[in-house]
Amino acid sequence: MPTYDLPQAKGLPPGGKVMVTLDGREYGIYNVGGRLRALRNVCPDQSGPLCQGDVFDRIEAEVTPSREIREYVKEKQAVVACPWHGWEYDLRTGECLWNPRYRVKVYDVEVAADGTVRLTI
Amino acid sequence: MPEDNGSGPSTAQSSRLVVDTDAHYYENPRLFGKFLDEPWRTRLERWSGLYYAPIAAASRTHDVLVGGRMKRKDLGLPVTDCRDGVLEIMKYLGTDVSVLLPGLLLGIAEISDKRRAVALCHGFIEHMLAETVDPAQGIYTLIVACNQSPSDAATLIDRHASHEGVCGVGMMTDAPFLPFGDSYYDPIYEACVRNHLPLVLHSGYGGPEGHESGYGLQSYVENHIAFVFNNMRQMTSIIFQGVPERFPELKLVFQEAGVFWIPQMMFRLDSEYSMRRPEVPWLKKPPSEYMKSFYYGTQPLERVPNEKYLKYVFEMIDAERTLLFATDWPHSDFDAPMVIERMSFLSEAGKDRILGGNARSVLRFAGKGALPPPQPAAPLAEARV
Repeated sequence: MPTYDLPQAKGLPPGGKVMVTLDGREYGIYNVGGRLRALRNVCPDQSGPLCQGDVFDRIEAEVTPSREIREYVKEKQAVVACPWHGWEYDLRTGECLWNPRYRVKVYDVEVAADGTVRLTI
Repeated sequence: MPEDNGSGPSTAQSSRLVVDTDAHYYENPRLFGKFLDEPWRTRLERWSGLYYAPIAAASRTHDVLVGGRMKRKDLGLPVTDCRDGVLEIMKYLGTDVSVLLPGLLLGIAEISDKRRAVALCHGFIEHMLAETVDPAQGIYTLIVACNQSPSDAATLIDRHASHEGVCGVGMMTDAPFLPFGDSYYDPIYEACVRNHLPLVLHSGYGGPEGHESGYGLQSYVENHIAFVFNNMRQMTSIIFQGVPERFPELKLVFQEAGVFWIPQMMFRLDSEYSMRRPEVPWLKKPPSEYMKSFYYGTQPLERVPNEKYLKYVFEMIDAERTLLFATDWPHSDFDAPMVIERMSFLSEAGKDRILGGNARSVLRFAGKGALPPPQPAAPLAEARV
C-alpha cells in the first residue's frame, strides 16, 4: 500500500477541501470536524466528479404525531453531494444517503506532529 | 456496481460514434425577434426577463438543482446557448452528434396563446438554423411543431425541412389539449411524411402549478413522474386512434420517460385491446406490434438493484433495434454514455446500435453521423457470375 505526502493539505482548516492527483487518480482531501479524510473523485452512480461537489448539512425529515413534515439538520457539514445528480455521501463512512448499497471509499489521512500530511492507499 | 471501481472520473470515453438524441439548448427568446414580423419582433427583443416570460416553464417554481447539490455552470461548464457551448459540452460528455431540443420551448405545448406559440416556434427554428446548427460538427436541431395550430406547424415544417441542420420535427407531450391521436394533428403528421422527417415526441411536466397530468403533485420528486404519464397518454391516443395505420411511413420517437414504461404499455394496451377491439377499428394488430415500430430515448435510464431487470426489459422491447441513447444534458437527471457502455448483457454491436447506429437510421443526419449512401446493386449479369 503506497503512502503519499500531501503538502497541499497541510494546515487545511475544518470544513476545507483540496484536490490531489496520485498516480493518475484524483482524490478530495476533506477536513471533517478536525479530522482529515480522503475520497476518490468518482461517484459510483455514473462516475461523476464527486469531489467537485460541495459539502452540505445532513438534512433529515420526520412526520410528527400531527402528521406534519418536519425537516431538520441532523449533522452540520456531514455530506458531500455529487455535482452531476446530487447523490449525497456521508463524509465519514462513504455511504450514500439514499441507498447504502452505494458507497465511496473513505481513507483516513494521517497528520504527523510536525503537521506533515500522509495518505496511505 | 455499488463500490467505486476506480475506472476514473468524469465522462465515459468511447471509440464508437455516440449520438445524443436529446440534448437541450437554452435559447434566448430575445434573439428570435429579428426573424419575426411586428408586433412579435419588438415583444421578444424587448422581453424584460423579469416577471414575464414568454413561456412560464414549470421548473421555474422548483429549485431543480436541489440547493446547490447539483452543479452545471459552477463546474466551469458553459450554458448551452451557443454553438461553441454545445461543442464544449459534447466534448465533456463524449458525444459526437447532438440533437438540440429547446429549453424554454419545452413548455410550448402548455401555453394557451396560439399566436404566441406560433411566433416562438417560428423564431426558435430561424435562430437555430441561422446561428447554432453545424451539421459538419454534428449539431442538429428539430423543428418544433406547435400543437396550438397544426396548419401553422405544417407550414413551418415545409419551409425548413430541407435545411441540413434539421434532423426531425418535435412536439412536446405535456400537452393539456387534444391528445395526439386526434385527427386535428394530421397536418403535422402529413408534413413529416411529405418531408421524410421523423417526429420526436418529447415528454415534459407542468410542475405542481401546471395543468397537465401531473397537476397537484406537490414536490419536485412527485411531480417529475408526469414525464411518464404524459408519454403514456399520448402513446395510448396515437395507437388507438390509428396514427400508425393512417401514417405508416411516419417514424415516431418517444423521448424522456426511461424504458420501463414501454413494456408496461405494450402489455397493458394489448390486454385492453383483447377485450374491446371493436372500439378501435383502425387497428389491424395488437398495440404492442405498433409499439415495436416506434423508437425510444433511453433517458432517464432507471437505476435498478439488479442488472437482469434491465436485461429483461431490453429483451421485451427489442432494445437493440428500438432504443436511441439520449443524455438530456444539462437537466438534473441526465445520463452519461457510460449507462449503456457498462451494461454487461449487451454485445458490442448492440451498444453500437443503441449509442448511435439506431439514431443514424431514424433521424436525418446530413453531415456528421450521416449513414453512408447505399451501395448500388451489382449489375444482374455480374451477380450471376
